[in-house]
Amino acid sequence: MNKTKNQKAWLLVLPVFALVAFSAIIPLMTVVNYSVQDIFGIDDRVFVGKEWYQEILRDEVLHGAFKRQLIFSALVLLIEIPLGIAVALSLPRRGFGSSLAITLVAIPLLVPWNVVGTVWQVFARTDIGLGGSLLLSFGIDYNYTSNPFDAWITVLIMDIWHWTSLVVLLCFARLQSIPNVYYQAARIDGASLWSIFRFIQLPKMKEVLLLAVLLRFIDSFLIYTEPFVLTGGGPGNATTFLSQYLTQLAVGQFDLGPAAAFSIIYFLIILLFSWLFFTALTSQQEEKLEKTREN
Amino acid sequence: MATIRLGQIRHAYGSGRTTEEVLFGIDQVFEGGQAYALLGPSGCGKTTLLNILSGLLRPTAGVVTIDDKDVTLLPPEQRNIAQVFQFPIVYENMSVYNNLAFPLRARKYSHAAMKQAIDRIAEVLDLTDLLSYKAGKLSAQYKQIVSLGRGLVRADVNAILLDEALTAVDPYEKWLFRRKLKQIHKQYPHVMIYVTHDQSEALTFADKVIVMNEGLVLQTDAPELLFEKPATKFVGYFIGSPGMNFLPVRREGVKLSLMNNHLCSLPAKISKVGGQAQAASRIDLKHIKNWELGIRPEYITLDLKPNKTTRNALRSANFKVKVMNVTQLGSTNIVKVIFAGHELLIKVTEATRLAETVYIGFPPDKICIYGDGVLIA
Repeated sequence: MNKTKNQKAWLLVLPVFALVAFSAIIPLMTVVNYSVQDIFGIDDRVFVGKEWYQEILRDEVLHGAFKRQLIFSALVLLIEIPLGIAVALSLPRRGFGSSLAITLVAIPLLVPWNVVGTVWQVFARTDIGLGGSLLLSFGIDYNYTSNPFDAWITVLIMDIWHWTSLVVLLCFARLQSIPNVYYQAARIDGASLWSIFRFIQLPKMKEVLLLAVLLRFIDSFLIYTEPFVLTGGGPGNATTFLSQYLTQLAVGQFDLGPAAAFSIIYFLIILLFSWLFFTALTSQQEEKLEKTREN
Repeated sequence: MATIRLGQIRHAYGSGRTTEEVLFGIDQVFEGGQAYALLGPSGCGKTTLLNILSGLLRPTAGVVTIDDKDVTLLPPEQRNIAQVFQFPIVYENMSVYNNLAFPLRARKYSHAAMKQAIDRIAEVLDLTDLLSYKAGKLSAQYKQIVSLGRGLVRADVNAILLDEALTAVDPYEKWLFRRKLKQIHKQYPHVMIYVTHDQSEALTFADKVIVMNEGLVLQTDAPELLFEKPATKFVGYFIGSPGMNFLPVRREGVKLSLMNNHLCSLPAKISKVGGQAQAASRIDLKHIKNWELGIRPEYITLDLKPNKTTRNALRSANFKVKVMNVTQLGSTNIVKVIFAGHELLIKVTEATRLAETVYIGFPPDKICIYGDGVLIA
C-alpha cells in the first residue's frame, strides 16, 4: 500500500516543539554553555572545556552528598514499596469505607512540599513540637537539629509519610482491577492468604510496582524542598543531598561553572536510571503484547 | 458416591432497596457418578447456583447437604468440590506442572501421589509436553485447559463444577474435550455439573439435563425426555432447533379439539403437571384458561397430496396449508407454513419435495398438551 506523503504533520507538532524548546531545551543548553565556559559577563567569557567537570568530580563534599543521596533513595525504596503494598492490601475494597480510606491516604500527596517540611519542622521540635517533646518525655534523647542520626531518621520518616501514599494508590488501583474470579479460583484450590498474595496479587502488581519504584527513585533522588525546610541540610552536612548542594554551589557560592557541570552530570544520572526502568517496563509490556497476539 | 442435595435454595444479591432476587426456591438432587448439564439462558441463575454449590456464595435461604451433612455454611475449601470457571484462570508466573500441583499442595498431598495425579491428568488433557512451560505464556485455549486440569486433578472430590468451562476452546476441540471429560468422569464416582447455555452441548454431555429459567428449575430429565415431553412451554421452545410449535386448542369437557377435529381426551384423573406428580384433587380443568398443543418441527408430517386412508385428519397429512418460505439448514430444510393464522415451522429432509401448498398432519403420539404453559398430557 502506498502511504500518502504529507509534510503538514510537522506543522501540527510545531506548537509542542516550541513549548518544549522554551521550557526544556533552551534552559538546558544554557546550562551546557555555563558548564564548558567561564562566564564573567555577557561579552566576557572564556572556553574552559572539561575543566569544571574535572573540578566537580574531585569535590569531596559532592562525594559525601552523592553517597548520602544513594543511601537515602535506597532506604526510601526499601521502606515505602513494601509498606505501600501492605497498606494497599489492608484497605477495604468496597463501599463507603473504601472511598473514605483512599481519600485519607491520599491527603499527604495534596500538601505542598514546603508545607510538609514546615509541618515536620514544627512537629519534631523538642520545645513546642508534639512529636519531639513526646519522644523526650519517653526519655529518648532526641534532637534533630544537633544529632545527625536523629536528623536522618526525621527526614526519612517525613518522606515515608509524604510519599508512601503514592505507592498505596498505585497498588490499590491495580488490586481493584483483579477480577474476583481469580480469588474464587484460589479459594476452590484451597490457597492460603500468603499464596494468594504471592501467586495472584504480586504478579498482577508487577508493572505498577516498577512504575512506583521509578517514580519514587526519581523523586527521592531529586529531593530538595522538604529537608531544606526541615533541617537546612544540617547538622553539618548530615542531611545535605545532591540538589541542595547544587543550590549551595550555584546560588550560595555563585560557582556557576562547577554548578552547571554538576547539573549536567546529575541530569545524566537521572536519565540513565529512568531509561533503565523504562526499558524494563516496556519489555514487560511487549511480552504482554506477544501473549495477546498468540491468543 | 456423594449425593448433593439442595433444599429450597433462594438467593438475592445486594441489600435494602437494591436487592435483586435471582433464585426462587430450588430443590435439586445431584447423585454421584452422574453427569448433569445446567442449561438456561444467560442471567437465569446458573452461575449463582453453582457458586452456592461450591461454597463461594452463601444462599440467602435454604440448605445444601453433601451425603446428608449440612454444608450450607462451610467455605469452599472444606467442601472438597472442584470448580472450573468460564474464563481461564492460571497462576501466571508458575509452570503448568506447578499450576496443576497447586490445589494438591494446599491439601498436603505426598510428593508421589501428587506426581501421579498430575501425570495422569496431563496425559488425558495432552498437557504432558507443556508441563515445564510458564502458564502465563500459554494461549487462552491452553490456559483454559490448564485451569480445567486444576479442577480435575483432585480425584477424590465430591463434585466437579464446570461453569461454561470450554468457552475459550475452539469448537472442534471443544467436542474432543467434552468426550475426554466424560471419559474421566466414568472412572470416578463424583457428581459432574456442566453449566452451559448451549443446548447441543448439554444434550450430548449429560445424563440428566436441568433446564433453568428466571431463577427456577423447570425440568430435570434425560435429554430424550426433555425433547419428547418438555415440562413447560419454555423448555419446549428452548430445547430443539427450531423450538416447539404451539397451537391453541379448544376444550369441551375432557375433549380437546383443533379446528373442529377431535384431538384427544384428557385422562379422567390428571396425576402429573409439568412432569411433577400432583394430588389429583388439586387439578381442576376449569381453572386452566389457555389450552395449547405443542409439537416438534421434526414430528409434523408433510405431503403433497391429502391422505384419504384415515378419517382422523390429525393422524396423517390432511390440513391444507400455504408454504411461506423455506430455510436451508445443512441437510434439513425448515419450512414455514401458515396454519389457521398461526406460523408453524416444519423440519424436513433435503429430499422432501415441496410445493406452494402442502398437506400437514400431527401424529397424536407426538403431541404434548399444555394448560397455561405447563405440560398436562
